[in-house]
Amino acid sequence: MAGHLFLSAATFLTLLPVLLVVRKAFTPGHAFAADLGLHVRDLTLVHFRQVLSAPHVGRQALNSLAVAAATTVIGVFLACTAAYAFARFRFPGRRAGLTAFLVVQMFPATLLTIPIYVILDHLHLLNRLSGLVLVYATTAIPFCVWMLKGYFETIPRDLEDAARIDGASRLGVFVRIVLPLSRPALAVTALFSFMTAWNEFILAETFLSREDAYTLPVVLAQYVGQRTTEWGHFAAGALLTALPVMVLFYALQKHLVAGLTAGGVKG
Amino acid sequence: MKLCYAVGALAIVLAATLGFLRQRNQDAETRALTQARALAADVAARRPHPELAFAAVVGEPPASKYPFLRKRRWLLHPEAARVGRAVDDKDAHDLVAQAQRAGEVARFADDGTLTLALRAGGATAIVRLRPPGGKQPLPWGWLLLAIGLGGALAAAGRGRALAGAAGLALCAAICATMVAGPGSARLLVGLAALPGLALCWAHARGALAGLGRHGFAYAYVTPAGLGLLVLVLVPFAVGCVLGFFDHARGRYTFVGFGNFREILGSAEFYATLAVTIAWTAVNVLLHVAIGLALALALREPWVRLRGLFRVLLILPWAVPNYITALLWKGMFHQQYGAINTILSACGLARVSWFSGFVPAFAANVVTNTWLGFPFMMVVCLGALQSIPREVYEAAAVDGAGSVARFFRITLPLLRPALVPAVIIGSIWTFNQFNIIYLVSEGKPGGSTDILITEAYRWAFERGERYGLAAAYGLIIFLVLFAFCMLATRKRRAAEVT
Amino acid sequence: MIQALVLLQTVVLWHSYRAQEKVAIEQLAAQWNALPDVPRLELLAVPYDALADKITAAVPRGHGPDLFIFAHDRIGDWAESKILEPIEFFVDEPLCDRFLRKTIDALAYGDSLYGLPLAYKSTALFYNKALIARPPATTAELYEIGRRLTDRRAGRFGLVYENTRLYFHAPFLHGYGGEVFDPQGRLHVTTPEAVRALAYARLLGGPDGIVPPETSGILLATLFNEGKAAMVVAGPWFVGEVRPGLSYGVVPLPVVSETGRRAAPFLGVEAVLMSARARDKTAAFRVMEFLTSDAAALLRARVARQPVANQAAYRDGRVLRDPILAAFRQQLDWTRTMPGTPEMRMAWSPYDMALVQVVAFGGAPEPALREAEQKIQAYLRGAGR
Repeated sequence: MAGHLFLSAATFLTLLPVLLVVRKAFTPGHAFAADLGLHVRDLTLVHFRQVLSAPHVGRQALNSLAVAAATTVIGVFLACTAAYAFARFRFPGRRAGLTAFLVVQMFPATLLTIPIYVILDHLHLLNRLSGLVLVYATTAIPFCVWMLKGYFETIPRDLEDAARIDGASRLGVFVRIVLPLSRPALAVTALFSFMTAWNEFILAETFLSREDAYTLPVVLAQYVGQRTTEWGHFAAGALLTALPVMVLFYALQKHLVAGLTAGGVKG
Repeated sequence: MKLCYAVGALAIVLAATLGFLRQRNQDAETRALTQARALAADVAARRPHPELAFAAVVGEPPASKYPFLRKRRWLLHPEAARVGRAVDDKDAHDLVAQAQRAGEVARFADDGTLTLALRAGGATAIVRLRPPGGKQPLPWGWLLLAIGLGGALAAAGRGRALAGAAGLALCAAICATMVAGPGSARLLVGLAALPGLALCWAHARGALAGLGRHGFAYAYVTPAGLGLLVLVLVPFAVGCVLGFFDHARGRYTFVGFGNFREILGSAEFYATLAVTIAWTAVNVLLHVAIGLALALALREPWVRLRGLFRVLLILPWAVPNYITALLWKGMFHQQYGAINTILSACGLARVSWFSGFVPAFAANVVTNTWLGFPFMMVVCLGALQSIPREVYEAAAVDGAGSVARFFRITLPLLRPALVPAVIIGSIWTFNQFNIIYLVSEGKPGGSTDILITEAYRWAFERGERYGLAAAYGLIIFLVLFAFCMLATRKRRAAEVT
Repeated sequence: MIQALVLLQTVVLWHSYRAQEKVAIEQLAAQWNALPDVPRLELLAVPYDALADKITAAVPRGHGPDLFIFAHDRIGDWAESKILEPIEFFVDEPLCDRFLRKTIDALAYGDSLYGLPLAYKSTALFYNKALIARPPATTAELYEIGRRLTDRRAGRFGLVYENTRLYFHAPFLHGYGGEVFDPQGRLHVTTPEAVRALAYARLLGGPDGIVPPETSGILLATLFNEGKAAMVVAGPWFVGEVRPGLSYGVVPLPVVSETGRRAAPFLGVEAVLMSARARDKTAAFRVMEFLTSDAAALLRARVARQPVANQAAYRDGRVLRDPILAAFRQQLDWTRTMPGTPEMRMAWSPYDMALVQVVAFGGAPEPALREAEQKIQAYLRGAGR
């Protein structure tokens, strides 16, 4: 019972601010109150209607989806291979490489916008979604590599050795044994990569200069003016933006809690 | 260690290249300037120069009630046609307008064309010279050689300080030659480099053999590494170089360690550093504690609606944090905020959250904890799956209590997955810009600012001091680097035991 | 068929207009594109947060727009880093005479002209007509009326303004005769006038005051809409925030009782600026001229209720009858142009800190100002100025 109480309390505290966003999204006007008055008088869908009827919004949602999906696929794929090498092989430069993956996170990204802009410019990827994917994937990879490496190391080596003896190739071992066993970690890294791309707006708004190339966070950022913010639109947009993440998480969570099967471990 | 050498070598090469380019271009520019000045003086004395691409002599601009309004009629002045070919040219107009204020203005176009406007007495002369033969190209050969040698040597160093140092010295020497330039010096450097080269060759042979042996591993790592190299390491190198420059009025000047002296010499820096470290420690601790507690709770067999709880609990991560951060700021409002409403309903005093360091810091921490725990929870959920239930069953048979089970089984077994998350989480929190910037805004009096917000303010609020901000970035990097070395070293020790 | 082969250059314009202002600029673009033989005008709406950084990053690398719309206060930075094109070459006196003098003067930097004004933005006094019959004419009256309408326990306040921000404190600062930079551009912060202005702000925001603590833009709108704020100091942007159906008026800020001078807010001028890398400068200038023409200004004033910079607009009956535009036009005569210099940009946050020190913590004005002055001076020195 105490456990349920703890979970409910935590969930309540978690939801409270989100509920305020929900309240704003459904009440008219753009003024945003942060009090607790949950008296909801006139509900309206006007913010949602306006957000959804803006020009290009369908295209922009697709852009976001494409960028996030591509980031997830590329990020997780590259991270898997690199993490496997780090976890299983001993090779010169292994430690340096691992450290390098950490080190690259350390220089504050806030200060790197312009250098990255210049590089994308040279690569002719400015103002293109593929450029964003490249940047997001490299942002997500270091964490994914470390996370996956940690997880791969918990998978007993005997399993792989046994498969090798049975004649499986190295790649076959990796794909058929290691990856399926790492579903929880893959789910974590996939969600993380997706989120990295899904909510990012500072780089996106700097690099994209076509309205039909904007991603959803850029659209949200547009609701924030110099002195005023269209809070109604912002709240509605934020909720709509959060929706796919929830769906994705719901879909991923069965993998997230898919433990090592007893049989597999005993081998 | 090796990385230090490589980064050092790269930085030196870049700095030297910049210096080199500046010098070469300056040479060409000075020559062109001297020539243009002489011609302009000629033109000012009304001596015709029809061979010039453009030449004109201009009297005082006509007066206007708008101080910025200078008519362009002068460009079509008959005098202008006599001294050279005159055209109706906006750039020339702007240059003359500037020269009438500043005395002399010169502008090099991208193609090397030099336009010079010179005020002489009551008149202003303007001349345009064709490119004097172009600027010196970048010495790619030398540059690549320097980078290659430096990198190879640094790699060959493999912990051997001597070889690494030799590599660095070689790099520095080559770069110095590129800038200074006399042939004899080049020869000397080449001779000095011979032992280093021999060393390098020996190691390179070993490395090549290794490459063949570990091909599979390298093939796995390279794609990810390549991406990082281009998009992270290169900007990072640029940031490092920038840290040694000062930016003012759109121009960068080399100031050596000036930026670092300025930062490290101010007492405020150390206060900010302390706040940053406290901020990181408190946040990461709370993230992990709450995330782990929730993940453990969600694992218990008695929990119903597990899926629903899980989905609801990641909401703070899913909703864009710009809106939720500002919402939290509103909730901390002294009079109307939800937090104080709750406090006073519970019979507690209202807190003026942003008027003292402790409450403002707490407000930031609460917001960031709320935003950050779902990520840690998800990581823990995933990591917990790596612990087979049989281990617990065995422990239960042994009669271990739940507390003992947590500390003796769960925590040690979670380590491999949790430690990277904690280390990377620390790095992110250390550089967490949004929350500080949006919630407390550094209030009161900048005391809750952390290093990254401080760096941002130097770059964008206190006079575009990009160099200083980059130096801050470098310092942040070094602090984090030291932290990670410590953390991973400890971890390796733990792995051994 | 032959005409169709004539390739006309496009002119790209970046802006961060929202709501009705966006509608107005889009209508103007459509009008322009319907004209014969003109380069196509392409608009891009950029988030406000990103616009300045985007310009700074994109223009030097040739990826920027030809034109963009921004407030005049960045002109100094951008002119010095060669991002803006000086345009006086294209401009003659009749064209300048089109605009209210203050608005075009704000766009000059170092004897060059860097843009054509679209609209001006300053603060003025908004009041709730249900609570206040006659708006205050002096600061003494402001305080008096405010006291009557303030009930802290009920969360009602006579006046709401962001009293810890220099931008919103500026009307009083100037009304008391204080300034941040003197007309020669020298720092001039710690003066008896500025001290008195701060003391007044402390009176308004103190325990006996009429202004709630920790005011933000969000709170301001909420309180005004709920009828809990009788008066607010805000600019034209606030019009869109007011709940429909609320009866309110706008008047110029009051006269400072002690000095007899008008409280003078900062004047910001929104202008269309030309990138130094604009591809076809003559074509770009034609677009600038069109967007700032009297007809275009009238459209902007009517559609977006923008306080436009053209003289002629205020001779039009429809604009004259708009009480809000009339109020801001009146306020314009009592504004202080915000310096468009990089120096000014370094002054904001230290001055804000002094305001927090005095208004929120009840500190003494003079030491707070002195501290701010030293900070600004240190920044100026650091930036080599």
